[in-house]
Amino acid sequence: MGLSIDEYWYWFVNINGVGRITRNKLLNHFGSVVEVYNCSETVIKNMEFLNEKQKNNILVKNSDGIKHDYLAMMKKGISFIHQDSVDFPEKLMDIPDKPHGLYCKGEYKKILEDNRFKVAIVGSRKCSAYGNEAAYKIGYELGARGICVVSGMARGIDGAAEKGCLNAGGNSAAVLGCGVDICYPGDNIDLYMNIARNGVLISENNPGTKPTAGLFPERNRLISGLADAIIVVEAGEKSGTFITVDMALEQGKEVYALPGRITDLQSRGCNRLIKQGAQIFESVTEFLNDMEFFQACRGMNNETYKMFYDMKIDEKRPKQQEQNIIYSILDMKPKHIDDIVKETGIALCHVMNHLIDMEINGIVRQTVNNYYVLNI
Amino acid sequence: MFCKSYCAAVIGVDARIVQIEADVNDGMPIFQMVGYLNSEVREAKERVRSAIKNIGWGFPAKRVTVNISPADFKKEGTAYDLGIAVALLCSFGRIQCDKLDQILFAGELSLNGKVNSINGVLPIVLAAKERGFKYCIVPACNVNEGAIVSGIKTIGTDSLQETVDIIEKECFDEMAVPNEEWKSNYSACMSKDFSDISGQPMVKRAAMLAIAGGHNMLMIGPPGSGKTMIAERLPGIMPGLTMKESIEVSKIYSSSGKFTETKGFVYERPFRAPHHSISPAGLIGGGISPYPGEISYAHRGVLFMDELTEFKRDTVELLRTPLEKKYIEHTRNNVTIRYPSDFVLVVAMNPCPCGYYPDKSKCSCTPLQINRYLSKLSYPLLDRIDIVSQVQSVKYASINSQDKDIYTTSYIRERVNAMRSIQNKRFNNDRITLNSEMNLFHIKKYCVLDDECKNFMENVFEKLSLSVRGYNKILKVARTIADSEECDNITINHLKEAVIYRSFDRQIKEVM
Repeated sequence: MGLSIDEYWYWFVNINGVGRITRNKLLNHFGSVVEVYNCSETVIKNMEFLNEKQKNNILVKNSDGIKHDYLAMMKKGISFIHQDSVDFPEKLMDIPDKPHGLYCKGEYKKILEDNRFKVAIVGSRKCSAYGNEAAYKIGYELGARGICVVSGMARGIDGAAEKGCLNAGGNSAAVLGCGVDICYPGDNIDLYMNIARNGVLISENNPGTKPTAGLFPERNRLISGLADAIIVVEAGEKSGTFITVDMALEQGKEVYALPGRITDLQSRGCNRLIKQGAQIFESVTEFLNDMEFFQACRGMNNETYKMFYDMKIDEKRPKQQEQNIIYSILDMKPKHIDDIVKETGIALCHVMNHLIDMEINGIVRQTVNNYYVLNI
Repeated sequence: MFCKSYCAAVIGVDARIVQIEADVNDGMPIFQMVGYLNSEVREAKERVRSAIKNIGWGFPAKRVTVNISPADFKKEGTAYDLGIAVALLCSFGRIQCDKLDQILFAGELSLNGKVNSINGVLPIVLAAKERGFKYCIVPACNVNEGAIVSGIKTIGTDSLQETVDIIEKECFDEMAVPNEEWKSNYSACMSKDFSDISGQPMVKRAAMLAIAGGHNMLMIGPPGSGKTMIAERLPGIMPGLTMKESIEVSKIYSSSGKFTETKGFVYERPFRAPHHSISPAGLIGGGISPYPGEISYAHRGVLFMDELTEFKRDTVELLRTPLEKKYIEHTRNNVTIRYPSDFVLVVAMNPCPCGYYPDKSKCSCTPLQINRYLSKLSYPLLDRIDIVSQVQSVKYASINSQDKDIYTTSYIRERVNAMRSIQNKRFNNDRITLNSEMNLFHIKKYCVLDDECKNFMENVFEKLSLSVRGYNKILKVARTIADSEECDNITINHLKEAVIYRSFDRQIKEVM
């Protein structure tokens, strides 16, 4: 019984001990996976770039076993796409060291479609309240415009951006370093389930692969590869985010960075990127103008779009005079009530009253008990 | 000959009058004691025999029986020695006195006839007064404890010989210690003033409200921000004890022999700060014959638990019922003892494992670590805390600041006193004294909200997602805030401030 093309590829990417580089060599030599599968034993035995173990593994061809495994995987709701599938994203064909196959969980056809605009939002796992907030907000606004947010479902910026996107009713793609059937980190389980329903989980690794450190830089190239542009929200000086940025530059993608204050350690990396020529990210509207991707928004509800388009931070400025003073000294760094009292000279009781009012009106937000930041 | 004298058994913080019957008859020379006695009471036999011999009187070779009645509960402690000796001397015919039924004896004898100190003199004297005794003869070193009780004459005695002399000469009135006038006094912790703490206006205000309204308080802050300093200064701002409260507290200290620490009588509100290695029995009391724990020693005062997250979880959970009921009951096989434990709980903790969150320049904890740290807290306990205040680390500028801080100890105490008297007036007919003790009925009666406030509370619950459990806490704290401004009604500004003190709820809810 013959194998389907999907099953040939499935066999091909799962040969034990054969990595991407060797697979590329095999494809170059034989032209297609079917040829590799059907080649004779002597041809394989004479290949110089293969070691004994690899040769043996390639020669083990149990078609029933392959069919069985493939079916079992499909039954778990995991799809497999490869370089020859119709659904394989064109964008990934253009990147160097393109993946041979991808495992997907979720609505991969709709989301990975090539003319759908995708933006990667990346940043460090250890982020500040500001970074978290900004990532969520950007993710939200992009999601509301029907733009797909691509990220890595990590703690910190990644997760926040994807949560924002999903909460706005958008679709998000998460590229994982482990198998798509494993939720890592475990505390993101809600997000994981949500993406599986309203987005897509993608991995280059076989289902069941445990998360190991070496796999994450590999997946970063897919994040930048899938996206049309990447936004770096927050990155320290030695953040792993730079791997994604390097890949993106290599792949010729536009890189945006959120500027930060010179005193913020978490923004050092972003500021350095800007110094090196990255675009400054100021607002989603400007970003989209910039990218001339308005056509990407065509599909969305006009009213919501207008709402976001018109939203300006300054309109939130409170009318009441004392509240205005409090507003003017608050920023994205959490500030204790005592400090607000000291800097404004307004009596403690009044400060507390104003803060509660402003919080109800959505102008400020309490990060930790008694510490306030501006709500952007 | 049959003779009897009176003594009292201390059970918990109260005393029960017992009578000591002595009977001397012909027969085998035996000295035996009956009446459900614990071993230390049975050992009194040897002490009494030696004491009587050593003050120069022989112990006749007759059949001697002593019974302590009522015989249906266990007698413990060494307070019976003196009463037994007097009853025996009487039945030997060595002393004659027709006033023995008006006198209560309590004291431990040593072999040479001296009288040693005992625990629980105050409850004993109070019980004697209640039963209509005229005199109370107690060890001289404990006589101060009884001096405060009026309506009964307390006499101190150093030895069995002196006791016999007093009885024979009937010079009771001459020997009685003069009654001490009860007066509240404020000498406590005056060396530590609130103005020593630089800045931190918010937590100082929170402390004032907590003490004034009897609200339990939680302080969260980085190391070195002054949480412990604030707690140490709390006794200074507490109002003086009333005489009734003072006696309640003194009874606890007296019955457990803690008076060596407080010299006679408790005039100041206690402040207890147990270390976090404390055992469950140390905290709430316990043992085979139950003794009081830190929560009872903190009765009418403050119990401060520093580094709350370091306390063993099951130890902290034990606080739940005493915080609600204001007493703790220890039940053992034959006795249930109730110790009062009406205290203000003040707890302190760090915001994260390293202690510096949300100052991200110092804190390196991940959100996961912080969540794990906060989830160590017990939610039921947090639910009993009305006021939560974040203490922030002290800035250099405020250390040397020359600004006069209005929050000095004397200022705060004045405010607290004023607020307490408002509460006393309000709760005159309600059997409670503090805002924190209000139940649903009182809240309905005294925390009336106008329409504006009702709208605000509705808004708060929707937008700030507060828990419904906190609703009544907010009203109680708002009541205290209104009292601080001497307002009859709660206004919207009071509610807003109270909401701020409750906002920890939200953070915790995200974690749990």
